Amino acid sequence: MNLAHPGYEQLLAEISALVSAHAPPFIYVNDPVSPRNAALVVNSAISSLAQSSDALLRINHAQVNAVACLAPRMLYDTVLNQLAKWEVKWEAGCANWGGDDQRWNDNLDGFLHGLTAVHSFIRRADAAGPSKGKAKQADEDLEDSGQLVIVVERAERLQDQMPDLIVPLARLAELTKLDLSVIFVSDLPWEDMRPPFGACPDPYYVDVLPLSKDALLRRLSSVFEAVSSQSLPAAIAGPYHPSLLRLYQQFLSVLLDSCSLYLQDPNELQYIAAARWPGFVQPVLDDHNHGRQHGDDVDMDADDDASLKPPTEDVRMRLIRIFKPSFQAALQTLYPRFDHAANWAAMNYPEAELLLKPASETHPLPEAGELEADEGRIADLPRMAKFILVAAYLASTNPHISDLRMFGRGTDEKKRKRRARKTAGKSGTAKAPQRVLGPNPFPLDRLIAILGALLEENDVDQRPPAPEYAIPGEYTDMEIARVGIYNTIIELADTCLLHRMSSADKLDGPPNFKCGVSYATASALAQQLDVPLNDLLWDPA
Amino acid sequence: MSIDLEDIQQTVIYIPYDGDEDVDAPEPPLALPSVPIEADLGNGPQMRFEAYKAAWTQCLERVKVIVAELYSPVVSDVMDRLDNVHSDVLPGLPFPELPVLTITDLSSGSLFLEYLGAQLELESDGEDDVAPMIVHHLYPNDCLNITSAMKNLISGFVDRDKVAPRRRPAASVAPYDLGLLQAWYDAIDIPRPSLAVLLHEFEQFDANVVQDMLYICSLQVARLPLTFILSLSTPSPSSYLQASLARATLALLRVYHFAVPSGPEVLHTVLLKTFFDPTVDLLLLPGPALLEFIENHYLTHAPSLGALLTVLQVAHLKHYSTEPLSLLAHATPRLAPSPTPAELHFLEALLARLHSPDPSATKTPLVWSAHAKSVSVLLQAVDAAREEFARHARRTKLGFQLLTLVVAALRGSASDKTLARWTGPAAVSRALDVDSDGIRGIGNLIRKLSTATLDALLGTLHVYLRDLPHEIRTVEAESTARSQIVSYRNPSGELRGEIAEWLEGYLADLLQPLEDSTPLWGVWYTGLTLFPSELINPALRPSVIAGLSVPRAYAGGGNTSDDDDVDDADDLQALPDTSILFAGYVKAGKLINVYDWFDHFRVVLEGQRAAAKTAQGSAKGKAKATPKGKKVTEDEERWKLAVQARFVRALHELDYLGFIKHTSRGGGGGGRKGEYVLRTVLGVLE
Repeated sequence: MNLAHPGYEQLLAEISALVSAHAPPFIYVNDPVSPRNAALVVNSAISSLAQSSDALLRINHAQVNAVACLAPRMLYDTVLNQLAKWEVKWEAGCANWGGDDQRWNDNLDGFLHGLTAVHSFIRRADAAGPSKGKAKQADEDLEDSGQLVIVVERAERLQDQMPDLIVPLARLAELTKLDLSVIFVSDLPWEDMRPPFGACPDPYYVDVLPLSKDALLRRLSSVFEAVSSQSLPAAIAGPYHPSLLRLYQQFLSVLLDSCSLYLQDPNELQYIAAARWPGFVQPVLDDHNHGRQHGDDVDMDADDDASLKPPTEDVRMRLIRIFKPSFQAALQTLYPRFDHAANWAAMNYPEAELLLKPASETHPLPEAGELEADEGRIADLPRMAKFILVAAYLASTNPHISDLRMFGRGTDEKKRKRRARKTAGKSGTAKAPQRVLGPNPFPLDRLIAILGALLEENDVDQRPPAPEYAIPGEYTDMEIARVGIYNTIIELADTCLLHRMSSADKLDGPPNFKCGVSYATASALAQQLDVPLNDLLWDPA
Repeated sequence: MSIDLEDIQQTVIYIPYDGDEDVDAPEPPLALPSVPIEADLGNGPQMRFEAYKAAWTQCLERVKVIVAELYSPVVSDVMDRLDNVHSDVLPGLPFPELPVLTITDLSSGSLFLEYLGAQLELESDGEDDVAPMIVHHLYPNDCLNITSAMKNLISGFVDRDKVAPRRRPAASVAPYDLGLLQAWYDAIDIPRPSLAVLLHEFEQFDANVVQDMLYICSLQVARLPLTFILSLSTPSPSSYLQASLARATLALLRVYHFAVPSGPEVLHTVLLKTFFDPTVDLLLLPGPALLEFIENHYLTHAPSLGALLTVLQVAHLKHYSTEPLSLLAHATPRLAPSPTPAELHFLEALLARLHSPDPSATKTPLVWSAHAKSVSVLLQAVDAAREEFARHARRTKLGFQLLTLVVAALRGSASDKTLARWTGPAAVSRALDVDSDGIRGIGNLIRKLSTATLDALLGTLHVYLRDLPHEIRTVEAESTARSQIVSYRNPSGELRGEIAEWLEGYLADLLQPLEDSTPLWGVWYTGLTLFPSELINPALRPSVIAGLSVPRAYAGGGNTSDDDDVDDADDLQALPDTSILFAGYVKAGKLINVYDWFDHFRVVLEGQRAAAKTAQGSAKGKAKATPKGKKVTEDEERWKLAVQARFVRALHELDYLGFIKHTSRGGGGGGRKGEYVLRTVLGVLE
């Protein structure tokens, strides 16, 4: 059984021990690193106990996810169906357990009665089941028949979705007077979700410690075995060929060395390993295929030798030297999910026939550089949207008192006075420039006004001629009042290029926005529009 | 006509004006903005509408074909990905991931999604050997909270089953339980379809709801092959997802990005292939002014094909509603030899148009008299003009296409600035129509081409001309052009000048302005007519202010200049109440004292009343003696009340329009008394 979840032996043992010897009514499992794995381990521990042939252990088990159960009714249904081992059938109109006679899901009281009903149902089923031989023994056990275990995964979400249910769930054994145990699995500690006034009994705490490197190694290499046992027949050389296990373990060990400092979740590490491994092992497979092709030419009997052999120590060292820097790159891209594993793996295949080249010609793969923000197709935005974004950047970076000086068209235009740049502060910390501090919110009116100034300076000659506007600036005034402008602003706010700071249903006064693009993007846009962005910044770099 | 104001499906509700209830109101009716069509047939509007419908349908169909061509590569990419999205999985992942496809359409238009949806439907109806795909559409309003989101998601699939076993609401699984969908899915015959959920306007969804929905579905994805398709309008889908979804949610997904083509190239392709394809004859060709507006609107404001279609449709509508002769666009009406007076009027106008001053015509008097004598001859002349225009347009379009090829070949050697004149439909059309230069100078550029490029260019031109359909190829100029090109193939250095000269001449010959084709060109060509851009992209505040300060000029289309001569006071009296009040508003400071404002209003109304009395008095003479005593005071009271009522009504109209902010009433706030209101719009020019 321990083989199923390497690395989590301790949790598995603890839960098994607890449940097999009448678990406490309320258990709280806290795993801040990987609650999903913890829930998996707890559930599999209980279900393997439930399926064991031990006659003394009759456990009925239900597992629910607090996110997936949107409403109490769904929680009740799920729990009762699972305890009664009832399968929802489409043909039967998706009826719940016991649905014909009575419904148990309309409120908590019904649920409690439902639990009692399920319990007696199980008792009857148990009594009917083994009645052929050992009816008498079963009768003796009736008083002690079976424990109900309910596991609630992501229990922290009960606080938002069903806050009223935390206390009843924690006291379920008391309320039903049944032999029942509720297990919460969460990444939050109990203190953070405990209801006030001591309404809940204290749970039995089970804390899951982060896995050690050794445990992680065992856990991740077990994945290799699982994949290789279910993948292609061993004769075909694939990345998960059994004879590559040694290489995989070494690969993991190096991978863990470079990543486990930042990352402890075994799932994330496994994700990175799964993405990197096919590329890592590809030179070995190439080498093997290459060798086989040549082998076929020379010697037709070579088939016996054709199975993939583990690479030599020399090759392993060379591979690791080449690939080690790319582990960091994988971590930087894959952990925040800038890309998904399959795509990253495909993008980062090494060049073909890597191992055939002399060692002096192979270079380590590049380490992750500065991750550039994905500009996407920002250049395809309509012209007006670009102007609005530049104006928004200016409005978010410049202090609003500077607007008249920066954009006002005075008698001599050249004299756009900036704040006198102070020499490095003599005392105290230097004030960080606004660009580093992040964008300031600004009202819509100010955005429109700056936009008007930008358009007047930079867009006038691009417009179709309109002789009806005689007064200087009148044309621009018309342009910035158009519906299209407001429309574009709303669209930009929807796509997070502008951030709306005031709530949408506030009607009084202009809405507030914040710029959502970086300096790099804003200056790229300004360049496309021929706007001298640096001249318009109050505090340029 | 019944108006259903409660129908939330309608975005716009039209309330017809059914007369002013206050018949006694002295306001003279405003001149409605109508286009005077002097000479018209009795059923002219109807015929023009038919002509519009024919032309617009033709145009729309053509655009649809081109858009489908543009979209099909992306659509097939998406379909390929959808086909293997659940089978093509990297081994060794910790948990199965939920596949998500994002489709980025900058224009946020639904054209692409409609097309994709149609293709998906086609596929699922078509071949039986492929496991079909069921697509369900979800809109932001379906997903206001997680319960309704899940309920809509599930029912979208489950309710397709027409013979579903009856579910008892209380005793079966909740309608928002994914177990319901699972049970339905498990009961389907093999091969089981894959399920796709298309979230329209993804940016409008509540991020928390979406995250929960994705989480719940990802728990089941191993047994329930769901795929989510997100329609986004952000330019950068990956950073949008990074910003709006938590990392824990992103870790559940496998995201593929697809982008719908957009940008100026799309616009140019659509316009070139719609209006400048010699193999396609459209009933209405856009002139340079319209093309320029389209290009400007697309590049500056709304880079979406939906907006483009709207502009084109409005342009069609405008053309067919303002050009009286446009009813001739599609077919010539059969008129009896002895026309009715209205018909005669129309025919006279037609005759005048057909013989509008044309210096080149020498036999005009003779033809004129022939046309003037017989209706049928005149109508035959119209048919001939139609054919002539079509022939001319075809040649011009051919010239356009050849010019595009030439400019593409020149792109390497000449600077973009020189070529800008001939890049894009609008620019070319403008160069032809307005600049006298036309394509002059292109020969010099061709002369500078290298021999290899020139040969390649000639090859392209030759292939293009060869592949033209028969009926266009037979035009004699084109066949000679082909033989000319063949003779020029493999040019040596000396020939280059000759080729350049010939090519320029040939293009110039093809690219004659469409106005020269026939005097009736205005029926099929918009020429230099400006597009009413205020209809598409109005400037709100200036329009409202203009409407309030000069209502008559505003409603009359701004061309009534005689109002300017009338002096201010008289002018003010003639205006509607709201405008009178607005005049006071403009003159006031930042804070307006309501009593002063009322006074100003009252004075103007008194003037109005006096003017009305004099008018009445002079009309009726002294028939009625002036009423006396009690009656006078009663009348005065009534009048005062009426003035107050009219003031309050006008004030509230301005209030609704958002011109007024009320100051806090006395009380605790320490604000001003309620007798002041705050102006919200300042700096209005009088």
